[in-house]
Amino acid sequence: MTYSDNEKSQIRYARLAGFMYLFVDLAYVAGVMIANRFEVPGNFTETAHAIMKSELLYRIGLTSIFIGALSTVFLAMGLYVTVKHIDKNLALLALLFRLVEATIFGLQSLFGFVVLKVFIGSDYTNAFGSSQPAVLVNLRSAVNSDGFIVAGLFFCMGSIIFFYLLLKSTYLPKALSAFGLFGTLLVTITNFADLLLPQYHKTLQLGVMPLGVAEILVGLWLLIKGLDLHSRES
Amino acid sequence: MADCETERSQIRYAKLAGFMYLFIMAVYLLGAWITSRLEVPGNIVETAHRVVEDELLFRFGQALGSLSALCAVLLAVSLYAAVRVIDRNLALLALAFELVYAAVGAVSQLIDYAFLKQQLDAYSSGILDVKQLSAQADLHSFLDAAALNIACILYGAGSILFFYLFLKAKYIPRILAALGLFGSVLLPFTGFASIIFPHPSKLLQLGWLPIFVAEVSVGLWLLFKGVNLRSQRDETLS
Repeated sequence: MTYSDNEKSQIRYARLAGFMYLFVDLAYVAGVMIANRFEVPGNFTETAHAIMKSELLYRIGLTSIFIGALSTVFLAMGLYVTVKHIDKNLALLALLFRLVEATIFGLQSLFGFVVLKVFIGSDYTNAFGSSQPAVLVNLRSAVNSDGFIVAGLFFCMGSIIFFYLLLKSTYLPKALSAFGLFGTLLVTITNFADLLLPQYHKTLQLGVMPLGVAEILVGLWLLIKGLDLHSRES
Repeated sequence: MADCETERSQIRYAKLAGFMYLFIMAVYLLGAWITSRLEVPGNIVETAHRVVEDELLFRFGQALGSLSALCAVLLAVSLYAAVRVIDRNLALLALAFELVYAAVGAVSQLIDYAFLKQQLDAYSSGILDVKQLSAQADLHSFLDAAALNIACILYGAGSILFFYLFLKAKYIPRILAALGLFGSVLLPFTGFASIIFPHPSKLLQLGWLPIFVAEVSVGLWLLFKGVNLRSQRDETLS
């Protein structure tokens, strides 16, 4: 079986998408875990002390989150080239949704770095005491969690379309694409619910689990097995 | 016939890209020069006083910053149209990065405006004392620096791809394309180093120099000489 140049390129981009699924998840989870290690809930002074003690590590955490946002562009492009033969307009729509998601996450990283100044800048605490900067940090936490939900909704729209096109294409095992589609629909519902009922945030976060598993499986499949273009020909 | 039309359109977009490179550079530098003229480093009261006295000029300087973010979209689309024949997917990826860059740049400008408004209100009404105003101004400049670094990483990612495609296509002299590629590669390095290390070296600012020279040179070349499509045509024929 020989492939045309276009098909070879499609397979390469699918592998890139597979790698990026894993890389984005890893960068984002690592970044959030590092940043969360420093946060002492409700205690601005303790958090500021922890960050000042190991500012470089905290910056690495924030940078890792930003790298996750940056890599989303590669992921979206990889998926776009993989599925554009199925429906070019839908694929482009999905790409645009994911670009908006990358932009929102990029801005969130920016806020993260700005608030870092409030934590480490003694002049800020000297000028305002510790209670007023704490209000700003709390505001940032709210922007962070709500921003995550809003970016998540754009992510969901893009992801639903990509998984729908993968399901339609039979490039992947149907069960895998269907699982991804189900996971994304679930996240869409839980994200909307989170906006309306923030008191159930912790429970609603469990809704991310199926999609997390689906993304890892699809990522591994695309990276290792690549695309099944034979099924398209048959 | 259709090929001819495509090539004419490609040349037009390349000239537009050349113009945009120079226009954005001029608008951005002029905006930065105007705002920096009114700022007195380390003296927020004097700065606020000057800004209140000449608020229109200061806002004009900031508006030029927004205009450069807006024009970045035109630059990205014209570069995309000029090089997509070489590799449509890579050109689209570059366009995607530049669009994210323009959006992040525009929103950070918006935050900049909000910050300024809040600072001027606080200064006029006397709600904040000098120490508090200085701390806020410090935070404001930190925001500007962080926004610049994040924007330069995103811009650099797109620029690397565009210059790579120029280098591959031989549309412009290879030395210019290679200089652009080198300058673009330096941008993410500069940006990441500045956001990761708490006290980055001032030498990092030199990382902007190669891309500045490359963009001015490539901008002039594209504007006056356009793109050399013959080399690509010869390659296709052979």
